[in-house]
Amino acid sequence: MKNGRFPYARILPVLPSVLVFTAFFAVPLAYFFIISFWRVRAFQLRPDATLAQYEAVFLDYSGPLIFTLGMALAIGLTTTLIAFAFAFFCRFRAYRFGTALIFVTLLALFGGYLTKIYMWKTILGSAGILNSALLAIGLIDNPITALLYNPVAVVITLVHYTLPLAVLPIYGSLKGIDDIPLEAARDLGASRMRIFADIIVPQCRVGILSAFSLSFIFAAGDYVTPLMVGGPSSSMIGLFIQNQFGTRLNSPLGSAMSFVVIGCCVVIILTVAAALFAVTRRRD
Amino acid sequence: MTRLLDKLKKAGLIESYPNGMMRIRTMGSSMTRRQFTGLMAAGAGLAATGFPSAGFAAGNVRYMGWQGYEEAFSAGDFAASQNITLSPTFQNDNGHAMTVIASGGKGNMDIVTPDTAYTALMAEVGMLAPIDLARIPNFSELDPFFQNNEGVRHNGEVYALPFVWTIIPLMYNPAHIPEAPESWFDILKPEYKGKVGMTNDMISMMVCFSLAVTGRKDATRISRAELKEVLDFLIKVKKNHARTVVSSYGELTDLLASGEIWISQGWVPVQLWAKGKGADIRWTVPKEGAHVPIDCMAIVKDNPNPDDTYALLNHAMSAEAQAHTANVNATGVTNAKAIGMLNQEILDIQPHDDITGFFEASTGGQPLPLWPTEADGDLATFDDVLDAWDKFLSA
Repeated sequence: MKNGRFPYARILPVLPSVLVFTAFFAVPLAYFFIISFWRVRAFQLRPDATLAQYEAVFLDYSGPLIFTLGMALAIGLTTTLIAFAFAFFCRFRAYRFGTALIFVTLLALFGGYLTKIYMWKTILGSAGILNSALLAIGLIDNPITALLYNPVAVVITLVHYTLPLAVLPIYGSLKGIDDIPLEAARDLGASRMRIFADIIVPQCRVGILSAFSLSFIFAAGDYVTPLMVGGPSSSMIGLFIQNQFGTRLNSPLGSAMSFVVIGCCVVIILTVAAALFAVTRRRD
Repeated sequence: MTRLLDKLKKAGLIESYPNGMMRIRTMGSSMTRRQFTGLMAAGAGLAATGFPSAGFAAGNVRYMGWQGYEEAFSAGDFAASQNITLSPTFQNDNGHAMTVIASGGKGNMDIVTPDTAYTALMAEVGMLAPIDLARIPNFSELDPFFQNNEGVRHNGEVYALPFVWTIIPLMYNPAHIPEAPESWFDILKPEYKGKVGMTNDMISMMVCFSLAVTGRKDATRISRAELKEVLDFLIKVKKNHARTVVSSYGELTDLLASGEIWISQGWVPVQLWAKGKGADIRWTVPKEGAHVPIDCMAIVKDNPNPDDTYALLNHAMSAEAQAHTANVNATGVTNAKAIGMLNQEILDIQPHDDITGFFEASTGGQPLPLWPTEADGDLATFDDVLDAWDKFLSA
């Protein structure tokens, strides 16, 4: 714009993504935000400016909301820890096999979401692989029914599904760490723990946060996994949101529930980010 | 300028030739302004003339309903022979179709498949068009029980065509429960603890357990206090006896067949699906009754293709189309002539010999209407029931 000419060449490459983002994300989101202040009467949307839907979310659905956020937090933290350990191994211990291991991780993305859910049902069920194996070697006399249809099964299934998504950003961050400062620190007598805490972790905070955010957000929005492996008392907020848009014909309440979940997720991610950055301050 | 050139050369973005010429490297093939303008013009032209629209093309009918029911239109190669193409979308529940109609579906959809409980409500809120029976000659072939059903009528006009009837009974695995359970309360037997299944099918669950807990055949006309009793009972079963709340009847089939669940509220086709997995699963109508819905075909108000819609609906009421659909989906037929065309395995799992008597024993004679949508004294409304269901899920 310095020469008075609009920089078309610079803007053109990002234009398609901006248009897609606006048309298929920002505009629908804005629509749902607006109708979250509306009402439904006789199964028809009625424009309004009420907070009644938000009030209903906190009064009637706080239980599933808290349960969902707790589950998502457990899944996000577990996934991030395992992903970090794996990515660290690939970057610093696996040597020339590191890239191959990451490729294998990518392969784990194949197969789809439902396949993985059914896979865990096959493993953990009463007549599943695990119980059959334990029965075959005589460790148990009757199948262990507690393996499936409980919140732990939901955590296991979702950690497995989100793990490859979490490994990639952490591995990307670890790959960006220069070996020279690590060797210098080692030469100057720094312990492994000191190098890990003062050089490695601070330099991959963004990767860790990305990994946590991806797994946390995915878990917070999921309702199929709890329905399939979670048992009678594992319903997460996504199921109630889906019901509002379907059976209940109440898209204002469904929208309000969605925005409360989004708001809570943002707050939790910011809190985790603040904690992470406070604990792992860079020592320049 | 010199500094910029140096930077570009250093970055490898400029290639120098011995004759002094320089070439800027670009990603991919470069495009001249004329080429770019031409491409944009072509795009604008395509947009102006419009992409081929399958939805509004002549001969296209938009269907939103239960998966499998659209089989009726292709039976005997009917749709193709009439040059009618179908754009199907499948629903999760009746509320799903209502949501789509309410949010822009009117004027864009042709056929939906509400059950009789939803028909009057959808007609009342202007989602359905009245059906001209003169254009559905096959309607006269339906069993009189279905022809005269009040659930498809609103203000004296017919708004839906009874197409399929099916049974939501109590299912059990005879390997573990040799004698057919007599009551819904049998699921509370201590020996079945942890082997009880429940489904995420709100209407079926609420109807079946309202029949059981209240002991009333008009189970959708219960007081709020009775609804509270039903909810308490459901939560008690869920917390103390249920293995899980299954997400679909396919999953229920797997769990019943594998022995993970022994007894559950179910759906008649589950028996056939389980047989396909080598398992003997049976159903029974307990003494308190069962949910027996009649699914219909209806026309969305202001539908874009009325002529082809009527042609398809008339065919769907024919014996041939109904028998084909029932043989594929393991459901009951409403066309009396179609009964003789059903496979034996369908007749084995769904009785057709005394339809009126079956409804009498299950629901008191007629499929149950929806709960009141507006407050009516102390009666529990549809909203109250939906609230209760959410409480059940979150308990």
